[in-house]
Amino acid sequence: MAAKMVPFGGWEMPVQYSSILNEHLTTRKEAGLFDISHMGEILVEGKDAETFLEKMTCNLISDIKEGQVQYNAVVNEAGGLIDDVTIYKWNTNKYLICSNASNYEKVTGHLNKYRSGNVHIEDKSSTYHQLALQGPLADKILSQYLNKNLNSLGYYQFQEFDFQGENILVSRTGYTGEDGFEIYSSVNLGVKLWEELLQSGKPLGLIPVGLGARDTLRLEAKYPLYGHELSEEWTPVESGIGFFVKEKPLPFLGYDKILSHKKNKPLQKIVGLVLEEPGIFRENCSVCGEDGMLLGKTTSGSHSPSRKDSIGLAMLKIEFTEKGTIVYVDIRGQKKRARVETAPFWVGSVRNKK
Amino acid sequence: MAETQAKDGFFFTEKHEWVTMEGDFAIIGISDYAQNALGDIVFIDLPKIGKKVQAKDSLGTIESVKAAEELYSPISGEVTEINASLSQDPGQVNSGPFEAWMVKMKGFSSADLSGLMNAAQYRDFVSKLD
Repeated sequence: MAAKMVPFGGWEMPVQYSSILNEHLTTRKEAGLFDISHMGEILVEGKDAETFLEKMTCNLISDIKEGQVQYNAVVNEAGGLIDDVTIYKWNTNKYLICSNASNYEKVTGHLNKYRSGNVHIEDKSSTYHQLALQGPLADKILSQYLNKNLNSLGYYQFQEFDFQGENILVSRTGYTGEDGFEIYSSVNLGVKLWEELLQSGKPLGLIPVGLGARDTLRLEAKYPLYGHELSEEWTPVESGIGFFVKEKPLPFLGYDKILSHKKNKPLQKIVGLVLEEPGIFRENCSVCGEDGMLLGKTTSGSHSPSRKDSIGLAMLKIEFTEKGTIVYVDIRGQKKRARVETAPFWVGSVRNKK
Repeated sequence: MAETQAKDGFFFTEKHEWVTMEGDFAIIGISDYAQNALGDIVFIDLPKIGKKVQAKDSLGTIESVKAAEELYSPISGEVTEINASLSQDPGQVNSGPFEAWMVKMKGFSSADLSGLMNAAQYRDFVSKLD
């Protein structure tokens, strides 16, 4: 397959297979298949696993039901975000953390540093292959291919299947704002699944999608990306994912700072921006008020293939994060008018609640 | 990229702009290699009519979904016309880079062309890029 390749988090990744616009719009309308084997998988087991994970993350681990997935963040003592992760729960003795490509070694090290009691931590990243099948037709395509009815698998739930003599894990999760699944398997089976799924989904419009469209899709859905909106310098609340921060009987690392940001508002926060003039802003553009006062910087920015305008995210002073606030983005020396948007830029077929 | 087109009668810069003459006017655009490297072009910022530039000055910006690239003038001269249809449909540059011209200029010196590559030289230049 002729793909344009780029280095990403230590991996050589396809940025596009056909064209970013085509891959993006096809995922919104039909379905796209993403090779996301670069993601990390860390197994946390043992009878103290739940208590341990409560200490390391700021969403409530005890809220997760068996067979459920939770969006969460691993944090440090300064209240900074080590990584945003999804956590899969089999039972209170067995969890799998799905971590970002560039972070799973750091996360494993961080967890090991604080490990106590009966807890076993194992980085399984090299043994897992991961695919994401995303789009309004994803359910139909995967149900057909696996010969299962996946409709009852709820948003942020997972199930394991025997398939071609191996165990695979399917969760209704994703990073595009569309309905869809992430599929965990062995590396060998994953390579085969990629080929077979593409063939089997082709009549319904399925195509392979690279990193370029993965980024524009997540941005339209207003999902943060580590290294852009998420950083060890900022609390999860500043990064705009404070909605899942919970008070806990057993405090997590950086508890006081993160909780105080949640209750009293931080000084700055990630918000969405829509450009109201022609042009496109990218990351690292200065954002100013009408009087020229510096308010912050953009952290991501792109042309939106679905909306056909310029959208992005920015870390701004809290006083300028209300919906509808007008700010000015500096694009190569030109100040262009932009509007703060607090909702997702695009609402796709993603299932809302469990 | 061996099949990259370079049209005869067009002159090329090392930054992959092309220029061709039409009477007293020079017409400027970007090459097939450039459009392919950029990917889907979604926005083109072109200069104001009457702008005077020196060779290698910026004429504007070409933006694809992922990247922004400067459009450099291959020659010195004055902008007389811009291709207004590109603001509605910038993707024309992807589908026909030698048809989707960007800027027309006058007042240039034909000596400017001497520093540029002709089609055969440009084909050779592109074939040596990765």
